[in-house]
Amino acid sequence: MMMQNAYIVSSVRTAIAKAPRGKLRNMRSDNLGATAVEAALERVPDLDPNDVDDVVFGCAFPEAEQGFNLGRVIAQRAGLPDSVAGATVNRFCASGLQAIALANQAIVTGQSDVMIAGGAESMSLIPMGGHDLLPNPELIAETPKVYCTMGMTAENVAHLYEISRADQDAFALRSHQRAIAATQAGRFNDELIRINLRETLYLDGKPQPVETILQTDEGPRTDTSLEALAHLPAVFRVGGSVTAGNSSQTSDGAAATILVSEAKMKEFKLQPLGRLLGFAVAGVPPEIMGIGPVAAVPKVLHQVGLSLDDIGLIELNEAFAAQSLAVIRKLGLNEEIVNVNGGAIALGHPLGCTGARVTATLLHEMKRRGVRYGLATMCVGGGMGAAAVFENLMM
Amino acid sequence: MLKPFRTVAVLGAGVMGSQIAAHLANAGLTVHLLDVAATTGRKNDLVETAFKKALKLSPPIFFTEKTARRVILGNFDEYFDRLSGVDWVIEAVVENLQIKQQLMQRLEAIIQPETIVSTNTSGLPIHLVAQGRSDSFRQRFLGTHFFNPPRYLKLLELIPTQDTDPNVLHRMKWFGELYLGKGVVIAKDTPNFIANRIGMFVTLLGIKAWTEQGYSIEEVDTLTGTLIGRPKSATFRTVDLVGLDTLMYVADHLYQAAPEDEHRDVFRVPDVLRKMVATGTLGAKSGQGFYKKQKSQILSVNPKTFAYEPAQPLNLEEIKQFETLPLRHRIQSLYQVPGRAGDFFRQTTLAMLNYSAHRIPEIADNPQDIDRAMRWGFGWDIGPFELWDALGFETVLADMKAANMTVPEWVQKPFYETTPATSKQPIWQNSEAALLDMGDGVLLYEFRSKGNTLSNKVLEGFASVLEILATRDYKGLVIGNDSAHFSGGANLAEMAMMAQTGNFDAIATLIVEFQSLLQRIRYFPKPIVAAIQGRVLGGGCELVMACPQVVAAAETYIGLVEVGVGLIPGAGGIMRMVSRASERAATDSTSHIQPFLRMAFETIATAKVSTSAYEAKELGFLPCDTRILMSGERRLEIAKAEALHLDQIGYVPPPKNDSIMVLGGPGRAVLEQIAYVFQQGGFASEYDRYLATRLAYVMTGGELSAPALVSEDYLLQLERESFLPLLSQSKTQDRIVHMLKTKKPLRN
Repeated sequence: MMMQNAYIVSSVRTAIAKAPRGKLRNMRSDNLGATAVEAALERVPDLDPNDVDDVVFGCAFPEAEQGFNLGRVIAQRAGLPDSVAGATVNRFCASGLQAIALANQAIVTGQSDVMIAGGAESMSLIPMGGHDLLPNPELIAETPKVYCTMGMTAENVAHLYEISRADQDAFALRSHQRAIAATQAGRFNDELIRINLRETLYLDGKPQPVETILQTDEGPRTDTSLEALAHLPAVFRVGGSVTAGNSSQTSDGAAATILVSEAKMKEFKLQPLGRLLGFAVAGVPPEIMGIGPVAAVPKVLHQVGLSLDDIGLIELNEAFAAQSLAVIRKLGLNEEIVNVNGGAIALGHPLGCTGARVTATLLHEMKRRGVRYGLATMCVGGGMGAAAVFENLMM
Repeated sequence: MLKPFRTVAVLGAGVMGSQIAAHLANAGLTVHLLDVAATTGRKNDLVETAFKKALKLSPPIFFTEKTARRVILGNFDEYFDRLSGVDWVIEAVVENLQIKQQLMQRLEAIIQPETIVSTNTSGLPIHLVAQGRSDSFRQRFLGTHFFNPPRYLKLLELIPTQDTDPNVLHRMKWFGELYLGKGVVIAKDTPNFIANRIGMFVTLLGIKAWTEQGYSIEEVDTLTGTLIGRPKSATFRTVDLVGLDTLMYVADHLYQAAPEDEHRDVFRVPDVLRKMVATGTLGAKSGQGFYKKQKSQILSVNPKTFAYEPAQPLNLEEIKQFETLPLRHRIQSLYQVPGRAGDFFRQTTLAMLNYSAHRIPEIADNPQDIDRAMRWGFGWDIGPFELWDALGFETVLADMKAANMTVPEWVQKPFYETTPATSKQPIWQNSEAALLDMGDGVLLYEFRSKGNTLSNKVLEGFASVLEILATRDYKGLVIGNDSAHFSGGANLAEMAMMAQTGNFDAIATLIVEFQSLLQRIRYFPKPIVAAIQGRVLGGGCELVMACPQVVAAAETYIGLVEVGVGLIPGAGGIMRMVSRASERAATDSTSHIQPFLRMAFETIATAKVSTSAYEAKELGFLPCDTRILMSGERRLEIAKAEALHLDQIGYVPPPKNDSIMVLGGPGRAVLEQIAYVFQQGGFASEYDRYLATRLAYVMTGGELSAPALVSEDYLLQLERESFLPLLSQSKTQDRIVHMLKTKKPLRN
């Protein structure tokens, strides 16, 4: 087996739209993904698309519009030649990151030279849990906690790690404030691509052409406050603390990253953004899945031989404020470098896309800050954590 | 030939306007709801906000959520031209004569020459609203006074002006009764029309007994509530709900508008009330009125200090002796009994009866209309003149004379003819049920048990009834009754008795018999039609689900509520819901059946009761060909017609469904996961979840590990096997005992 280095040469994302009533509510995730792939390729014009080996996309509920092997459909919709293969991977909320890790492995092991990886999810079209959740009868009979709802796991984590409602709401407010500040300062400009959607909608009693241009995340709110957040009811448990305001938003979005081997990088004279140094997943009890990063982060740090002190920037997916705070406290993370541009509570969490979205956000912010090592991590439904360490090569 | 309205418009999206629009949409009409344009933002903002607020009202104003889509929102600026396409316009804007008159002027310019226009004003003179309009407009103009909430209160007062074309009035009455299910009373164009005029008088008498005669708020409410056949909210609680400011406004208005009224002084607002309004004490909308709820305690206001105090013990000992008597005996006794309670009742009743007598012909043409208005608009069990007759026509007359009251000349004899009970002899009867001949070869089986429960006697009766139907020359059977509520379900007390004495064999036999009775009803060779309204619960629901044809009042509240008493349906209710789920699915594919099964599961597991017959269809309790009537009192007559119709076309009972798709273990896991999530979230107790898993077991075919087509009998057997063991569970027994004692479900 030949071992070689893999480099990230392009990493982009669409704006994240609200589901199920946002501007992208009718846009299929295959088209969203194809838009991201096309934009990622545009940023490396010297790369010959005929050299792409495979398109690997993450998706948490790969069914209906995002079924039929999303990865291959995206490759076709992005206008790539038939020779480019496609695959879909699912690790729920870490699917996008998992796709990038797989692409990286394919290059490192010498199986491939050019890979496109990413994630896409339309929660407007395919709801959380899918259209038809059919749990395993034996597990339901013996250990139903495997099918614990995500909101309930957040309640369990809040209870177990004593995360107060006030702390959760304050965390949520800060996510919005940071996302608004980042948007206003244009800090997402390098990673964001433009969505141009043409639709024919039934308006005022007749079909009418509607053109939608989306280049800004829909989720962040300038009008929220601690008072407003404190008024929201707990939705998952009677008397609980997890609300719509301190949970991630349901969203639509896609992101794509291009990875190449050292040989191809030199051949096409490409400029590397960074590289994936290591990736790890770990299991935790399903009913407290939010704590997943606590298991995965030490594993990946050990793998790459770094410590938390070496990490200059962290993207910790905000599935819920409760689990984010539990992870921050348990791992002893420096809050000043966690989600500096806001997280999923403000920006939204298009499940299978998120891992690829935070990769793009992390790489561009590392470049801006001149940080060498960055960490992307998230909890995963069913009781898992995933974590990846990236190295900035633009220093 | 009378033509029903199809498209209507309501002007003004306030509390009344929105609710009237909702009720017209309930009746199947297309409704335009318009209000003034917002001055900032989008012009429709105002109407949309008002409508959204109305959508949150409880009880719900629409029959189903989707009904609301039939209301098209608009504003006077942009969409006034829509009014050119409607059959009837109802004006319900702010109570300001000038604004209403201007609106009428604008309206006249745009509506079609046959469009009818009405105003819902409750205070302004009707004829003034149309003043200045053409003859043709005024001929098509009248007052249509709905009562709040218009979906639930039966009264509709129609107020013609001198100019109103009698044909228009006739058409409106016909439409109101048949299509809107209203009780229509024709009123005169006098201040506050009929019901509010009398109602205000009676309310103020009650308030003045408090301010002037030393009766406490609680005493007045005791003496003016259910005791005398009036709503539980009686006097003060009703004013709290209506608003003290509204009451004051109407009373002040009446005092001004009725200078000829010989009892005008009654409408003079007591200072106490005026002061309360001045300090913002307006009733429920301001958090406190005559009453104030503090934690679990209900306090009432002290008229001198305006402080809220706990209720003093009632000084009305004498009413205890007849509280449990039937209404007529109760009021007769109250009228005779010496002491404070009797004094209050005699005094206020004589004043009210005398006042009502003097209002004819001023506000109504006959005493019956006043009685109807008070029954339908104020929820009284008997109207003023019915009360007069009940107390003894001559007795009341003599008492009025003794009290120096003048009695109008037209009062000469009792207001109602006492007809001897001419009801025909039942064909068959026992102490709790009867079989009657409806004529034309149709039978009526009527429950007469307490709460119309399916007691042993009622169930036994079915055997005789079906025997008569089978062997004699009858064409069909209607199952129904005159009561407000069709049936409260199984007789819990009888079942609890058997369970407590350990007589489970008897219960097992009962369940088998009940199941086979319902199967017999469904597959009987002659048509059997259920005629239902109001509450139809538990076993009552299962009976209706078994009937091949149903005629339902729109106001039907039906549900399988067994889990509330720790049970699951055991008489075919589950089997039929599963059968309907697979019938409604597009194919036999499990993923097509699953959503319907899931809905049925959640409906039964949460003891959901429909809020209307239309919703009951959506939930799967009623078949899609159920005849739904806005005017529920016609249900027996229509059910009879339905039975005759089925007979005429050559009746064939529905085929037995012995290929019901059940989903087995994989499908059961889906339902068990839902129960798990409900319980984890604290939305269901551990025992609720246990009951839900038993329900899921039956719904998915028991032990099957894969989907299968099964027979009705197979599912009925599963129902029985799952039902009986629950009765010996202590938590189920606790639930039953609690329900029998408190009439409320226990969440253990």
